[in-house]
Amino acid sequence: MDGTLIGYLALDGLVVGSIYALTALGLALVYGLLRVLHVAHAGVYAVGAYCGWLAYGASHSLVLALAAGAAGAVLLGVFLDAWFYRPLAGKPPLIALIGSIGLFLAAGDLLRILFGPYQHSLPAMSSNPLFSVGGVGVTPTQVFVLCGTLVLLLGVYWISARTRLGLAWRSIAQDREIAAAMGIDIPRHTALAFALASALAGVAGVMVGVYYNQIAPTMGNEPAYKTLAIVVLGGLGNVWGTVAAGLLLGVIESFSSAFAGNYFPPQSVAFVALILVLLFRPQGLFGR
Amino acid sequence: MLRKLLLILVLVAAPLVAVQAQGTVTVGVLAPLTGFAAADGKSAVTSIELATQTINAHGGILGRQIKLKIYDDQADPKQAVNFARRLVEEDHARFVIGASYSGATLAAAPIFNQNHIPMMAAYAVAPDITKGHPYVFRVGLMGPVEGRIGAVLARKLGAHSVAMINLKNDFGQALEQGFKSEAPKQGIRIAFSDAYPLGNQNFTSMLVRVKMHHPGAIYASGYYSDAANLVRQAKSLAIRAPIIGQDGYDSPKFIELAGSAANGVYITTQLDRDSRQPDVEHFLRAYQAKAGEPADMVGASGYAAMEVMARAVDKAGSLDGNAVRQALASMKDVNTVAGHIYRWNENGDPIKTATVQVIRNGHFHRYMSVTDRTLLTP
Repeated sequence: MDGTLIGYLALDGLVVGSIYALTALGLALVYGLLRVLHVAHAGVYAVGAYCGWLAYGASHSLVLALAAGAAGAVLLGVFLDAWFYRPLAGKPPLIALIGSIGLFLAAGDLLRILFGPYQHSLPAMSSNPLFSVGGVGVTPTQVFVLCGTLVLLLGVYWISARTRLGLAWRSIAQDREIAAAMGIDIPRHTALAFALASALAGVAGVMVGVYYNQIAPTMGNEPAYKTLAIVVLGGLGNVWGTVAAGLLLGVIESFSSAFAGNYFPPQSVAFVALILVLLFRPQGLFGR
Repeated sequence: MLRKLLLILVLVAAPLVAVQAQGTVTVGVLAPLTGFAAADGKSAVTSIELATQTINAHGGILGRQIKLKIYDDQADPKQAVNFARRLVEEDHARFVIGASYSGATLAAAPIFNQNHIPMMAAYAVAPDITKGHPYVFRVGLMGPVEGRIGAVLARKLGAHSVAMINLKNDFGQALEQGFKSEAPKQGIRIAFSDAYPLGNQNFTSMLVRVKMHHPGAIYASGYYSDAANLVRQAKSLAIRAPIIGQDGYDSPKFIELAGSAANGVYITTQLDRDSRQPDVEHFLRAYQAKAGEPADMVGASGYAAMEVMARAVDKAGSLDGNAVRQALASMKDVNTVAGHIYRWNENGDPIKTATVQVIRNGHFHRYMSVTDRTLLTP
């Protein structure tokens, strides 16, 4: 096997995996606290991408686009928490799940009605190689996604390991009632978790838009199911397991599309992995 | 009180509606306006409405105004069947434009055929849509024909070996089959052939393998959003072989999404942007004015489908399904905005001209016209 090919496949897998990790990370965070599968998270991701696109169109600034993507996503995420998930607390989780699927579909259709069914471009960055490592050309868009993801992951790590907020989240995830009894304001901390999760999704949406130079109302469809698979693979609610599962899935997809793409579509890797894990390791790859 | 008012309103208005309806001809349209294919559905419907406005402004068909009845089939065969029945039973459509994807069009075609309602498929490619359905016709180029033109073009561009990247659906398979049947005749070796699923965004791994074969050209089937990624990623990999696409690429959106990587891409298609034909110029201008964006190939095929049906009705001098069908089958040399149709074959598929367009400085331009009847016959 050619070394350059392996290099290209690994790089490509890491870039795609980074975006999976960022999107699924927020989902894991929300699941850890609320124990619901927040399918509408993929809708938040698409709305974030559109906010970034609007901001880029008005300002031609990538920084503003990322900020607007995060801000739009945070607003939507916090709104969903306060007006949708909170009123459903105490109801069977299936109700929140079904409602969440409905919200996801509504978000996609709302984007279609507002901005049309066509794709839009987000030409913030060139995709011509910037430099080459061992014959593997690296593009500015790839550097942007990899560095952006690294910075955000370090930020999330710092919040969860070093701040009182992170401590509060972990205690709520471990035992909601005892955490409440210890005086932790659960609605406030849940809202903050939604804010962080949504910001990550919004930024991921803008990154995907820049990486592929396109956004579309249907852009959440693939993440909607794939992030669920990643969250389960990572061990439901296990934040770092989810990040690892996202990166791993990106790399496996990349290699499988090169060597078995004709017989085994890369889109199915997530589900085959999911079935195998549920059969043999139902707590997830990294679950305890 | 309100209910009484409403009742009076209905009683007064109903006869008015009925009178108006007598003077119109109901034409059914099935198109995907929501779901994954919504962009194509919108292009097609915008164009069909445009063609209808033009026809109505010139006196309609047989002196009656066309009234469109449009249903959103979401490119879903189940929905298409439901709406096809409704068009037949409730709306009494006199003829139908099938402006949806192959699956949905294939499901609806037998229903119209059984009820002797002529149907014109705009851009669906599946061969079985017309086969055994004497009332069902097609206005678009057949996939295998387009594939063959692709091979002729590759040879003209000096390629002796070609790498094929095929979309894994009926469109991609029809093109692949046509290209592979013509390639040996053109002295072209297929150096590489692989397929990808619809909606694929990442072509890097496939393109790296393509690069290793040093092909003289790349024949890549697909729709513009996927194709934009393909040509961008080919450029990132410094692949210099020319890329040959088809009418699936034929949208200004392709150029927007692919950016500078679109330059130098060739496509085999039906809408000639450099045409000086008055109806093509009118269509391009009117579409831009109505939709606020430039027209694409799907739009042109929707427009052509309506144009052709209106002419067939006029030729038949009647709205009777059988008369319209016979008129269509005997029509020769029909100019449309999507190419010149020599005639329809026994299946109802067109033998028509094609064009090769190349993108230069972010615009589609004519590279050559294809008029070789042997090559163009399905």
